Parts: sequence; C-alpha cells; structure tokens
Amino acid sequence: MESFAYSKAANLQQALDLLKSTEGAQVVAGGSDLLSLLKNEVLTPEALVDIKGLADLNYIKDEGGVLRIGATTTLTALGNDAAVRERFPIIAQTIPLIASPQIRNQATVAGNLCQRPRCWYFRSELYDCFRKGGPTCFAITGRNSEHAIFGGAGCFIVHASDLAPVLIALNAEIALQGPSGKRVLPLEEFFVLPRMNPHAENLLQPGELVVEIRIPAPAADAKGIFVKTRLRGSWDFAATSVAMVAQVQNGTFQDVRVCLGAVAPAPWRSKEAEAALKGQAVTADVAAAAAKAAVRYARPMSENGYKIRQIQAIIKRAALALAK
Amino acid sequence: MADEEKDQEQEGVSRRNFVVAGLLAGGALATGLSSLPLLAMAETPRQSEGVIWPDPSLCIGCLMCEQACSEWHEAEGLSPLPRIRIFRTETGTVNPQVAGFSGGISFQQSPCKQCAGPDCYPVCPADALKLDAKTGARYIDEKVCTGCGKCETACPYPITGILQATLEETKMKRIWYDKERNVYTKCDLCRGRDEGPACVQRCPVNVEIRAGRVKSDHLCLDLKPSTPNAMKEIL
Repeated sequence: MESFAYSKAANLQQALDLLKSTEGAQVVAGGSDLLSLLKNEVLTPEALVDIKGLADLNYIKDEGGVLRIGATTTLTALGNDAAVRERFPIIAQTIPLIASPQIRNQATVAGNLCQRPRCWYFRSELYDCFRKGGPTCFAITGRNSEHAIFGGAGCFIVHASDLAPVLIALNAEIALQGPSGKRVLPLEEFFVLPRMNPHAENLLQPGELVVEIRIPAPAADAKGIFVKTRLRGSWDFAATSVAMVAQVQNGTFQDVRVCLGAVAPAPWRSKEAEAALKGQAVTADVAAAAAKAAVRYARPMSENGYKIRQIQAIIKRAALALAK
Repeated sequence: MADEEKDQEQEGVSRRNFVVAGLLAGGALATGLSSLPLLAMAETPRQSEGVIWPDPSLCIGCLMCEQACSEWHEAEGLSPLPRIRIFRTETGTVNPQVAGFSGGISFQQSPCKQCAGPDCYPVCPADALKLDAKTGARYIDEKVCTGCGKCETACPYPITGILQATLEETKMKRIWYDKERNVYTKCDLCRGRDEGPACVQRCPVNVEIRAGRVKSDHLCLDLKPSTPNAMKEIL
C-alpha cells in the first residue's frame, strides 16, 4: 500500500473543506471496500478524509413520512432501526443478506452504494483494464462468470450492492453535497452505465459527498421483497438479485417496481418485468411471463449464461411471494 | 510533428475546393489545355482509400468499438459520439468460436460506407464535409459544421433496429447529431491516428484473431481498401 496523508473531519463542513483543499483526496468512512482497493493499489490517493462517526451524517429520521438516512449510518444500525423494521421490512430483510455481521457493523449505507466493482480484472494490479483507463476489458474474451448480462459497453462489471436495488425499488433519492452546493436526485439516476462513463459507477464529482438517502412514504398496501442468489451460501456478493416493491390489492399488482442487482454495471431497473406484472393478478404464468420479459434483452457472455436462468427464477419467486 | 504542421498536412478537401478545381478545369478546357484528370476530380470526389469493413458473424456486441471511437475522438477535442454503432439482431449467427453464448442474438455493425459518390458531400451548405488529404475518408469538420442536418438527410443508408447500447428501437443514418455541440459527425477513419482506426485496433475479437486464438482470415472490424461496390457489400 502506498502512503497517504490522513485527516479526520470534525464535521460535515470541515470534511467538505478538506476535500476541496486536498486534490485527489479520497473519502473514507467504514473503509470495508476502500482498504482493499488501497492494499491492491487499485487506488493510490495522496490523502484520505475520514468522515466516520460524524454526528451530522449518522442518523435515521422519520420526517413527515419520508425516511432520511445519514450517509455514515452503518448497515447494522439501519437493519436494527425500529422505524425501518416497521415501515420498510424489505430493508430489514435485506440487511442480513449483505456481507457478514462484522462487515455490517463497519460498513456504511453510502459506502455500500458507492462501492467499486468486484471484477477480478479491476481489482488486480496486474490488469490495466478499461475501467482503470487501460485499453480493453479483459472479461470480454476472458473469465466472465460473474460479469454483466445487461448494460455492458466495453466494460462488463456488475454493480455489487444489495442495498441499491432495494432503495431504487423503494423510489429513494440521494442527496449529494460538494463545492457547488447540495443536489438531490433519484437514486436510480445516480448510477451510470459504461456508455455514459466507463471509469465511474456514479455521478459523484470530485470533492462531493453523499450526505443522505431519502425514502418516500410507501403506499399503505405496498409490499416488498428482496431475493438474492450467491455462489457461496454463508456470505457472498450477489450472483444475481431482485428487489420488487408492489402495491398489491386482492392479489393484483396495481403498481410495481423491479430492480435487478449484480447483472449490469449499474442497478438494472426492469421495465419489461414491471410492464408484464402491472395490472395483473399474479399467477405462476404471469410471473413466468414477467421473468421471460426481464431477460428479453440480456446479452450473456461465455461463462455467465446461468444468470439468465437465475434471474428468471428469482423474479418468479419474488412475484409469487408478493402476490400471496 | 508540431500540431499546426500536422493540421495542415491533414487538412481536408472541401466541396468548394472541388468546385474551384472544376472551374479551373473548365477554364483550362476553354484554353485548349488537357485537363481531363482534373475535370474528373471535380465531378466525383476521389474514392476513400479505406473503409471499416465489419463482419457480423464475428461481432459479440461488446461495444468496445463504440467506446474506443468515443474515447479517441473526445481526446482530440471532437464530439464524443461513437461513429460506429452496433445493432442487435435476431437473424444472424455468431461464429461459435467467438460467441460463447447462444440464444439467437447477433450484432450488426454500422459504420459509414465511405461511398464512392457520397450523397452527403455535395449538400453541405457550410462546406463542412471534407475529404481527408491522406486517406480520402469523408469527414465532417466540426469547427465548420452548422448542425443543419442536410448531410444526414442525404445519407442513403438508414439502419433500423435495436441499438445495443440503449436497447431502444432506433432508426438512424450513418451520420449522427450531437445535440450538446450542435454538430453532425461520422466515421473519419480516425484521421491523424497513427495506429489507424481505434475500433479496428481495440476490438477484442480482432485481438484474439491477431493472437491466433480465434482462427479467421479476416477481422471482425477490418480497415480494408475501399471498392466502388463497398457501399453495396457492407451492411
């Protein structure tokens, strides 16, 4: 690991000032992703600005029905929060499926959303891959069993966050703060595909911080479910995942949002599956049709065709579970 | 080579230059001088020496060509829109040696055909359509382009289908509009790039073919000498 300067911010404003005044500084909070990137020298920042434990970023508030989650809230705190467990059971159900208890105690909500790809070529200092500014994506003609089946363009990473598809299915927003002020955007629009920028996974600008996640009040009859497959049963990143949030009345899906995880370089909203489910009394046939629609435009690689079958299986499972 | 010198060397020939050449030729004829070659040049722009020649049976739809194209042109200060687009089809077959997937999808590459008699060329009111002095590639000078779109309208080769990058049903020509910059752009064979077209160099299937890991007597995207029939033979 290369050496770096370390600064501990005392509050949000100081963190922003430090980021502004130190070119190339990297933010660290839980560090569960960042440290491995530093050790593998995928990132070699000259300075780290530590925002762990900042009181002004560590909170969960219910304001007028909108749940506001501070960026440095740990995954454990999020999963244990009473309001979250009562009003957003899909989040409480998802948290135990993320990493391990030790990591969840350390890892933050914003860190989970901003984590870098798990692609073995990206993570290895031996490969000068396209995402790191190199000439090509080695997964295209190399080993690609854990890579994208949607949205790849010269780079075929998957976005590994489990929380992101869930929050997108809940129609969450993300608040960012930087040198030019604060901006709030739908979380779905925060993530970018390689065709927009092959070197970044989101719109975060230099000097900018994620400060908050906002989840609007769900409809009274809304139900949600998160289903994840993984290669290792104990704990692992997703091989595929689906988050589904629907308003269900007498078994009929009045409104539904479906977001897939670990199948594309960004969380992948499946409008095709949503269209197949919306307004339908969900039976096994309807769920199968939605699953088939979801993979209509999948582009498998040489080793990841299994993701097409897995995604279909978990979409069916999720839809039928919500219809009950 | 200094940038200015390089620019001059690569400076293209515009429609107006040809008109001037035509007038000179006419004047020469009037004075009884032999000017047939010059006259011929005035009527029809010289053929591009090269053209990007795609083979859909080798394309795996990875879009590295689009990315490489964008990246290089953007670094040159030009529109970042890719000049080659990949369409998804369900009618072709990809060579199993390179595909690694099944499911009846294949991909069609759609570069500019560098037409022998380019319809886009004479219609530009701003003389932004030029011929590269070295290769004859037809290109749009973005500093001159006014974004009127006549070149796009004139292009006789539409392509319709699902664009792999966006998965949207799309109908487009071989010339594209960059609304951010209000300019049109098209394949210029990466004029001035020492290694030749970026898409040909960086196509991962081409890399495999060159390394001998995929057996093929031609490339997925090849820079081939253009022929008068290229526009008929290229998809």
